[in-house]
Amino acid sequence: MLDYALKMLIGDKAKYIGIILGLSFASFIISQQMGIFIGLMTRTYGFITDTSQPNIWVMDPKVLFIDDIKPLRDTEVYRVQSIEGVEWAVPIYKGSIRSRLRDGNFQTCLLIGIDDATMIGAPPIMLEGNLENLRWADAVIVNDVGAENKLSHDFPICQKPLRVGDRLELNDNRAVVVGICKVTRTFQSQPVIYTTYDRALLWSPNERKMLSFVLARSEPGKNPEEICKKITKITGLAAYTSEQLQWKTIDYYMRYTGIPINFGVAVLLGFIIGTAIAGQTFYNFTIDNLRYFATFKAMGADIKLLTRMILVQSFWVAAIGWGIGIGAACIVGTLSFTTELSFSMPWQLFVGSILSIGLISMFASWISLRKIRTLDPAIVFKS
Amino acid sequence: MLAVSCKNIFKTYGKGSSQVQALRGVNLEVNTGELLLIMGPSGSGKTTLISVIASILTQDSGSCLVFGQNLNAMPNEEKTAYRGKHIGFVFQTFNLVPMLTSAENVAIPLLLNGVPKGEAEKKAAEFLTSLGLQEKTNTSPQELSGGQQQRVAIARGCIHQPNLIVCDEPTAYLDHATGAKVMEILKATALEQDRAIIVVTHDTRIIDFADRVVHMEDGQIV
Repeated sequence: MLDYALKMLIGDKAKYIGIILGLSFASFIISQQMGIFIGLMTRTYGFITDTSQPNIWVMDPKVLFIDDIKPLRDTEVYRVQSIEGVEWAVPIYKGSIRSRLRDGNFQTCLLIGIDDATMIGAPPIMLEGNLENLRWADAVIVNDVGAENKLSHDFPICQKPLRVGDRLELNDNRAVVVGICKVTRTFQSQPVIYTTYDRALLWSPNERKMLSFVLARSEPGKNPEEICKKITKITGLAAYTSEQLQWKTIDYYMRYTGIPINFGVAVLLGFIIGTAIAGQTFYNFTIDNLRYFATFKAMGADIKLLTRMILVQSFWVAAIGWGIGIGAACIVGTLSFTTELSFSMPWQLFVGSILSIGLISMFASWISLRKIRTLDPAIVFKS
Repeated sequence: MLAVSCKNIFKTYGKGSSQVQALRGVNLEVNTGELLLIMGPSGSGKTTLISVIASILTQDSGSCLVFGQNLNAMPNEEKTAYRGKHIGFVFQTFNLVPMLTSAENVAIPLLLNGVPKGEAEKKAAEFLTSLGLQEKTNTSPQELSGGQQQRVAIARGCIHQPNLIVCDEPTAYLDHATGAKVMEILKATALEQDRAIIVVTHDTRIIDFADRVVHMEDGQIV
């Protein structure tokens, strides 16, 4: 009887397509909006994941997220280094710098100053040039997206990308590109420029304290969280593991920006509209076929069988609707891969969208089942 | 042997001023091997009576035994199972599922009785062939004429060899010749010594097919 239930559903083409469109729409909106949201959130802590060598980040206790720089004294590096359980500790500078373009325009960039000696904090992937060349005079490494777009020559007209050997003007200082790297796009989509720590301090507007973070690594076998607690206790600074800082950053954006609300509203709308379309159409389909369900009931179909028939129909459209929606979201995500649009589809998103569409189809089948359960088989004799 | 024995059946619909007494102390017996015609004007309670007999409606008072079983006293699941096995239905509007083929429609009672799908559909196709519908087994009921649809409906009502077949106006939408043909088929297919057929109808043209005719008026057999 269950495949007959499916034939009944598929046979009513208008409603079948209507239900699937409703569920596909919901699945697409939920997956696509959540994909952009997760992509955006991933960008917020991209600097942490790109800087993979340290597992401990030390900062001012008032820092709320990774871009919230509250400078420290340089001597804090030595204080952290001296703590038992810390294998090494190095300084890193992170701040904004203005680049003057050839057409006279200015472009704000993110300047990262990495430890001169160890190069810890360097970009994760070098596309052109050598990291060691950063020790040359005035050397900088520029991220590929920045080099090809906002820092390209005559942007946005000709867009001749920056190449190794090209020069830049950073806060009235001459800089020479010695490498092109790949990093996670920043939240503000600014170009990212790497140089050495000392040079970064030299080029940046002078302040009494310049150190952004102390990057540290716990000794092998030591629990980084314990070491963080120890650092905080001894130095009075905030110390987080990389993962803790990622979540702290996400937490900041979730709490203090309207981003989750905006995306949440979009997702909720997709859910509500999908529920309304799919639920209403599925219910109408059940109502239209009530005579047949009553006939089955009169002919000996028990309520369990009728429930299974409704659930199979509901599961079928949910699976197809989810598949079409998530497929479309994947296509949009793939097409937007090279654009500014952030998009990420971790497995949790697949599970989340399955659960959402499952919930919609359960609701649709629930309202239909309410009707079926109270169905009077005596209606079969009404003409 | 008695196929159906109804004693003093009362059934009322609605409440207060809109209350309608559909059955007022109906007594009816149907023997096995008998084709009983229940006739009467609209609103006389014919359909209510066969609904009670077929246990898809519960009477307010009185008893109704089908082959000695008081169906309306059974728990719902047991009653549904009994109905699926022992009672066949033929409806005025056929109630054939348009999204299924004729054979699939006919196979439904077998599937409900646990017959595997392949076997059920094969038997259904054979049954339809025996009714002269061999060309229509894979056709949607919507593409059939009224007479053909009613033959499919009769096949569906009879295929699982129920002891009791209840038919509601089976010839209402058919012309005289087709109606007569349908009744012939119904009688030839379903009526055996251990079975009974109850037909509710307005159609006086099919009286000749009945073994017995009862008339109803105002919820009573007159």
